[in-house]
Amino acid sequence: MSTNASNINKPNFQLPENYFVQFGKELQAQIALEEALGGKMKAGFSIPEAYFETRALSVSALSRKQKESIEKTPKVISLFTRKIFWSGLSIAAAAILLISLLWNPTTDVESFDTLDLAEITYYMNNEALAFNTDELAILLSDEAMNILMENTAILDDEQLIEYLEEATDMYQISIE
Amino acid sequence: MDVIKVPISEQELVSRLKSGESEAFTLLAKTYQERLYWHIRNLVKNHEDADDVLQNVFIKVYRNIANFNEQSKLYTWLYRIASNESYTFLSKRAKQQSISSEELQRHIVDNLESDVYFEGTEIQLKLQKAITSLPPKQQQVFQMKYFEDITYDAMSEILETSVGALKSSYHIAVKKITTHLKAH
Repeated sequence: MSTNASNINKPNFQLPENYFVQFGKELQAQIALEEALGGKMKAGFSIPEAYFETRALSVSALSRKQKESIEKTPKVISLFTRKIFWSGLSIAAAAILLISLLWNPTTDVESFDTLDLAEITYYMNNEALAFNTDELAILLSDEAMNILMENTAILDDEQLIEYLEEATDMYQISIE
Repeated sequence: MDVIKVPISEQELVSRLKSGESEAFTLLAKTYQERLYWHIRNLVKNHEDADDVLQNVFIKVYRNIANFNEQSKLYTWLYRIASNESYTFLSKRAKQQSISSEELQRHIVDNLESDVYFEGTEIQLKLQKAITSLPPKQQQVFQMKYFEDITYDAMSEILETSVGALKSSYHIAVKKITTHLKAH
């Protein structure tokens, strides 16, 4: 049997460019890590005995308690939800205003320390301004992140998208 | 990631959760709590903190299940909430201690040696320190791949990042960790 790769009968499958080169590099890196660690490692964390059994029971109790709480106070929940919605909109509007004030296509993006405008532009271009927490953590300064985190409960992706869709004109102005 | 076996279909589970059935919520917790716990634990490191975050995750799931639009898979949604809650927790903790997130992570890993729920060897501790030296995104990708065995396809859905970018991120993380281990 020939061991020459060029003699292997290849079917009509396609491969990504430089696949085997990249595969070799990744394998080499993985082997180097295994050698440095002396084999596959676990994280080394442990948990209290019967932790997951007791955790499931507490979650079950929590759901009953939450349900009772919601059933007892329907009007308060409704009012709160409305307040949350408008507060969420206020924050979204403030975020858009902040971006529009800082956004200037002729400005050198490297001059901003706390906002990665290239990243924001990417999101704007892809109409996906529903940031998740870790993305926000990367994009915003610690102080801005803290202010936002204090209001975490009032931010909701769907509400934010809904607001942005309704405020398309303003959004367009901010990037033009 | 292994296929998560739920005794009822995911669609039915979501439907029952949305109708507010306590039993459905217990089933959800039993099915996903262990995976979510280890996902959170890898991010926050400490058991008590992971326990608090896991509790918050389930509270958030309970309160927001009506908003789950079912366009993504349930486990994807749960993992996203778990990741976000973990980062929110770490951010708040850093703020409380008036230190940066990077400093906080170093403190947490330095305290692992005295943690009763850390039974790692010296090399495992070194590995944790090496992971901490990575940028947050690379840390998460490395931990999800190396410790949690989550496939790139599943990770791509959870992190909303392309498979190619994740592979590249993991490859860079592996090289950085190896270099860190050899240097320390």
